[in-house]
Amino acid sequence: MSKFFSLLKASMSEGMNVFRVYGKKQSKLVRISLPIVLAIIIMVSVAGYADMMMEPLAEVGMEFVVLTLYIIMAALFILVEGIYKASGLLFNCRDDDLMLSLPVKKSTVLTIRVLKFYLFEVMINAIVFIPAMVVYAMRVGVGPSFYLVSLTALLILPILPIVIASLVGGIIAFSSAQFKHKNIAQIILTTLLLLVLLFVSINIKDILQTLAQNAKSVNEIITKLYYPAGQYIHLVLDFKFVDYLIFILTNVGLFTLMLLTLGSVYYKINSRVKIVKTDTALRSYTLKYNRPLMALFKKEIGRFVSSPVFLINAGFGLVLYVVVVILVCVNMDGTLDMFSKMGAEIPVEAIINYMPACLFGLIFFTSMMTSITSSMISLEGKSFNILKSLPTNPVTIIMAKVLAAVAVMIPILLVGDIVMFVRFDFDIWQILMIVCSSIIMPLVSEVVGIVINLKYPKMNAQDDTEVVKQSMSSMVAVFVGFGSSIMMIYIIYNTFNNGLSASGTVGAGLLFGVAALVLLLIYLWRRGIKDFNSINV
Amino acid sequence: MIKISDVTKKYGDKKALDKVSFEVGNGEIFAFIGHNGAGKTTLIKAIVGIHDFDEGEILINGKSITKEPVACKKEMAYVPDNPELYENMRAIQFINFICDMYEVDLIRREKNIKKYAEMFEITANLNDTIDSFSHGMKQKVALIAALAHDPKIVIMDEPFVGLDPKAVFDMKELMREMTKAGKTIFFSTHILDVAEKLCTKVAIIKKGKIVKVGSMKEIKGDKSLEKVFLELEK
Repeated sequence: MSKFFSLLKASMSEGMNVFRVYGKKQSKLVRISLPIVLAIIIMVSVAGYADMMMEPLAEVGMEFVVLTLYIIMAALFILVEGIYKASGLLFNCRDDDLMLSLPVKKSTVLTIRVLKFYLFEVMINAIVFIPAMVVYAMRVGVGPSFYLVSLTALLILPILPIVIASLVGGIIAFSSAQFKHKNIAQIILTTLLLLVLLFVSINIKDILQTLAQNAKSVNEIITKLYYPAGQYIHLVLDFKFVDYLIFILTNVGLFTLMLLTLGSVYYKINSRVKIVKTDTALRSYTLKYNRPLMALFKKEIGRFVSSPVFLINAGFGLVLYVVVVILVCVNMDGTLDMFSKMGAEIPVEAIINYMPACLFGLIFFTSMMTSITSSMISLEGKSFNILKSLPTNPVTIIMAKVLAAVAVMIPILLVGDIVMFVRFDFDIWQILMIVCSSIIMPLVSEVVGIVINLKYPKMNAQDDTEVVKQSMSSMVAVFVGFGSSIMMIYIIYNTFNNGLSASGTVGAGLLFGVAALVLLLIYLWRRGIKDFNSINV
Repeated sequence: MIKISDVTKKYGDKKALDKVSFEVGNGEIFAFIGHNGAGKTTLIKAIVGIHDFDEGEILINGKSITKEPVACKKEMAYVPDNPELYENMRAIQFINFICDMYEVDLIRREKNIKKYAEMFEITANLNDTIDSFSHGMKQKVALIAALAHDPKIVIMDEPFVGLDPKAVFDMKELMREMTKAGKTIFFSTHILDVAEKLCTKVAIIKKGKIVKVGSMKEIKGDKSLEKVFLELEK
């Protein structure tokens, strides 16, 4: 048993270094306190939203709906994250050779990997679910059974999303391994799945309504949609020890079933995923001369498209941008109706009159949330030394990364712009400013990304998922992107309310973008190069 | 020519390199030996401009690696101890990429790639992605990429690790051939027999300090290099 826990501890410690900045000494206090402080900030924000939602629900005596919503929110988050994580934590693991050479059973190795996966997801569940529990307990008088059931639920509710995520992750890994170009297959399969999930999320209200027509109560709807959540709500409202036991046994049973089923096929999938199909026949090759900047640019593009997780993570926002633009153009009323389904109330006339500013906001949001460069230094990993040994100035290397990232973004943004120009009335100045924004904003976002990544590199990641989804740099980039987007949307909303013209708003936004870009480039020139040189792999 | 003068590199309070000084002349094959953690890779990374250092100077054909890094790097080739190459690339793409960075014209790169790929018997695999390669195959790709731009100075960290016997033999012959043409070869190794037979000069590093440096004859006298090294390590 001690061997099992030693392995689990070693395995967990590998994934717990999200906040450790590579090559920089951090005190134990900082390493421990940073994630705790961050978790507390998120939990307080989540609790604030839960409290806001509690008000109207209390009037109709349905406070428990808050718990339901937060359970579903956590489950969806775990599901989407889990599909990404399954590829790195369960399949195609880099420590296969080490783990499988140790004198432990194969089933033990699998159990440790599943447990690691499970414990990470329990942490995510806790961050979302505990605030809702606390708010519910403060608002509604609860007995000891609530705490017992809720703490049990904290451990049990991630099981079903994990089972589904593992299953889907396994299917994606196995199916894509059948193809020669398995990365492309993986990208297509994952994108399709995420689009389905998005469609379900947007139409959740309709789905619930359809379910409601066939169900007698809200609890029955929940039970149909997500059985463990229904069990939990049932126990919160009416605790019975037998039901509590059933709650535990069904979910633990599900987990055991998953382990047994996965155990029988896991190593077959895993070995197939690792097969690299090569062309054994001798083929001629052609050599082409490129200038250093172009060679580096091509290398970055090649790296980007060869990594499914990197491509999907960065590309999904851009695909959504195009989808939103096309939806707005093709079916304006329907799109606004879709937004109102998601809780936003937008007057149609105002939107049309203020379209240039809205499009600018959308470009800004898409650019800032698509930080490709925030992973690009970390993804070099140990091969970073190749770059440092090349006879090239670090500025060229950094700029090649920024240019590769914007080369992915700008054409997509411009396609969206053209569609909007055709559909709505933009004057020539507005067209010029929007086109400039579609060039400047991605540059701003990607320079911000590279500055962050140079500050917080993670050069020893086990796989791309760890860099793209779980590194300090990618998290900081998301926070910066989200924060600045919220600020920009707030500013646009206020200028609209204060009667500033759409052109004036776009012009001011563009000027802000240019100023930010100049300042960032000066910073990158002065500090970024030093940061680049100080990364020792 | 490589001139290393009083180079010191610290990691916190610990000195990884302590006032290291020696010269490697043109046409020399120079072996750099020492036990694990002695500072071999640290010095090699400092020479090729990957790591900075706290004190001293490194001159590559008279130019300072800290003041003119790009000019120095153009004259050198570096083969790392662990070939961490771009796994997503095909071997030929990687070699071509390195040639682009050294601005090698197409005729020269085509000739050199063909020559070295045939020598290391890897021509048939040039179109395969690097992630399908064994350690030895990756090492061969790294070597071809390093040699394809006709460097004046070749710096190698454990170049023979992972290579098959024929490749080791060919590599040794190639090193001799290059030094006859006036090029400089500097490499670290733990294979003392190879160093003894191949090299004209040797430096032994211990805990960041050079304990012996000179021609092979001066260093080993009548003894074997292995014996001299082990005596120094006591």
